[in-house]
Amino acid sequence: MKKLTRIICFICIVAVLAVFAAGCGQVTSKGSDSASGTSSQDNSTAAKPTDKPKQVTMRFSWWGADNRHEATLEAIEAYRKLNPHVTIEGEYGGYDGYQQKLMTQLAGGSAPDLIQTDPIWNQQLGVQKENFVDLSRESAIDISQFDEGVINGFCLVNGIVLGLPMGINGFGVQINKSFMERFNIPLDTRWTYEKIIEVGRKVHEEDSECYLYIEDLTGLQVKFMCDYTRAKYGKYWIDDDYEIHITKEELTEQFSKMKELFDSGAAVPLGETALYNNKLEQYPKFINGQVGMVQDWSGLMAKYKEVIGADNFAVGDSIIVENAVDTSTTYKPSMLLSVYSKSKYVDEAVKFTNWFLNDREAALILKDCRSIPGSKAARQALIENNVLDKDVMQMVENTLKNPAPPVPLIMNNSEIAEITKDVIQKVVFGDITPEDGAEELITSVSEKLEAIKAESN
Amino acid sequence: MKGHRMGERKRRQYIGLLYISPWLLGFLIFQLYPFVSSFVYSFTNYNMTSNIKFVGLKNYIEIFTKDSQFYNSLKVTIFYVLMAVPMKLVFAFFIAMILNIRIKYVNYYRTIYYLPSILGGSVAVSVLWRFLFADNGLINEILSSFGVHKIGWLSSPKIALFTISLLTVWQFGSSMVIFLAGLKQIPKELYEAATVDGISKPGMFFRITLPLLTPIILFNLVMQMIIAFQEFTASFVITSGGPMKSTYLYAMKLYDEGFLFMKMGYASALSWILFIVIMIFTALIFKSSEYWTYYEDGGK
Repeated sequence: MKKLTRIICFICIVAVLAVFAAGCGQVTSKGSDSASGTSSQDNSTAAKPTDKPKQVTMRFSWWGADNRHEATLEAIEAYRKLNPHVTIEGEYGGYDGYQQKLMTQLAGGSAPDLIQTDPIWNQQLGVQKENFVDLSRESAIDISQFDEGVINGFCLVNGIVLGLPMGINGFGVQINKSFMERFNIPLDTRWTYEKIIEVGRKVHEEDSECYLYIEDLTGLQVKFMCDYTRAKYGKYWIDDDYEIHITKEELTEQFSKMKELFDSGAAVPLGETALYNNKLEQYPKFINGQVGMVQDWSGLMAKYKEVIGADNFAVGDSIIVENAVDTSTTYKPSMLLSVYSKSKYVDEAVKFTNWFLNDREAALILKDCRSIPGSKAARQALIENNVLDKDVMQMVENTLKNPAPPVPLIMNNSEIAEITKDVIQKVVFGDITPEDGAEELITSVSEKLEAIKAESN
Repeated sequence: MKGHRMGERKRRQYIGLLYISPWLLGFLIFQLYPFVSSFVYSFTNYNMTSNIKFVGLKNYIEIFTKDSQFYNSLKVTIFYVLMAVPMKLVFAFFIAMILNIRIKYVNYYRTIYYLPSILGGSVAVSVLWRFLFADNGLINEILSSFGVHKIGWLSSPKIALFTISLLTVWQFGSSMVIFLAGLKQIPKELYEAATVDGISKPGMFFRITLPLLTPIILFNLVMQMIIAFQEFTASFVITSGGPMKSTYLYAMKLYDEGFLFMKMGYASALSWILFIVIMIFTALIFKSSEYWTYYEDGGK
């Protein structure tokens, strides 16, 4: 028995270790495909004009909630009726994991022909610009329909137009009206973080189950390290010169404010929202109407509105700070539509892109599922037909009154974002003081910036 | 004549290889090749976009000298293993003992108890776990009806790892089946002899059952430990490593480096370090087993 057991033991252990190794290997095996995959495909097979158009099947990937999936699929179907030789397969799901999947597909040479991307990935996508069609060079696309400032600020990366804006995203608070009425809070309050703390504290004291404001860790990182710093000090904390531009004192101040937001009971405890990162609308208290407001993009409004109820929903300006030196609002295209340069049907994909973004019929199907369309023609079609959601319109209008310039690319670096989130958590949970947090963040980020700078040279 | 026989032999060898070729191909392509290539990549700066450059031991040096999250995730993972594996084995053993009693429909019970193991690794169950243990989840609702104050099962950095390991414990099925097989193998005569000698039930358990099961315990311990070191789904789906990185298991760190930061070379190096850590722990257990495993034939 002894021998037999040992032999079985040994065999099983080897097998498990081998499986484990395969698990690690998946990480790398994709890479090896890239070497062979990318070189074996070229554009020589792109559709050529013939008498009878060749059957074309393309893939189109996007993320979003159900309303966006339905509208996009409907638009694809409408396009197929117009162009019976073109079949487009949708690859859609949530935001979680989308970027990771896309990066792996790009490395493996198997990315979809049409790709929805987030402008915050521009830095990572820009270094592999050979994977994307420069849309400014494609005559089949009417690029004049897009605002030049948006193209230059958010689409032009490393010399190419990587993608075109599908929507214009406004930014601001999204409010549960009956909550505000219950606590006698005026709907048109211009919120500052100081005011949220003051009013939120009272709300929470009155009913310990209720919170004025909700934020998840990802949002907190963006709002405090981008919006707050800009409003308070009129600058960004890091810049594309790979330097830190915030002092320890300034950082300590904003960390203290952030901590107070939670300690005062104004915001839902961070531990509770951890399970609902990027999906705050699923947080039970939000659904029950025990949360007053959330600050997010207009492109994501539909999901909050559905939970709060259209009649009970209102929008407001973005949150700033008291005595702000900069009152502009964060602004970006909701997302970009890019064409994969290694697609077998680049011409067809470009044609579809033009139809999807600029065509009247497409616009009327898609409406504001990606916020207000980025294309003037599409926007015009929606205005004429009076189908734009008034809240989305209002939020975009509020934003466009004073839009902030694009943030430095380095601020979207995922490693820096992770370091920041880590420190923010420690501060909010009271593990370290705001002062120590500031010290730690500056030390570790300046190290990371140096490493990134060395790599980029 | 001889040549003919040789030819026949060779032919049969080829047929044998042909029969096992599906497995062989799978092994070569999906296991051996990634295994070797990840080792090679661990000495490069491979990031899926720019050209691959050999950087020597840079990744390993950086992991050990600069990466504080490496030590944190390793610590969290070791805690997790120390917590989840013993709990799981004790639980599996306990259930196996119960299911070893001759009762009606025992085979159905065995199947039912095995079910969580089939479901447990899935994302769906992890999502369910999240709802059960959320602050307003079912578990807290039940507890509050008994007057117990809400517990931050997943929101408190101190408890979250424990909650995650409960999910592992719940998937005790495979260890239970092996324990059950081990229990069935113990000769009845030993118990009969003990009864004649007037030994009590607990006495029989500690003097017969437990010693004779030690080889099985060793097997289960090693297997479960290896699996636990690689746990990923639960912490990824339920807590994303939080709160405050308290459930940031090593496999999550590996995933983040590879797929979030696109540092595939670095991630490969991390995976090889994990491989060595698991080897060390396995060797330790085997070494210690000399002192606590007993075999029927009296050998050690």
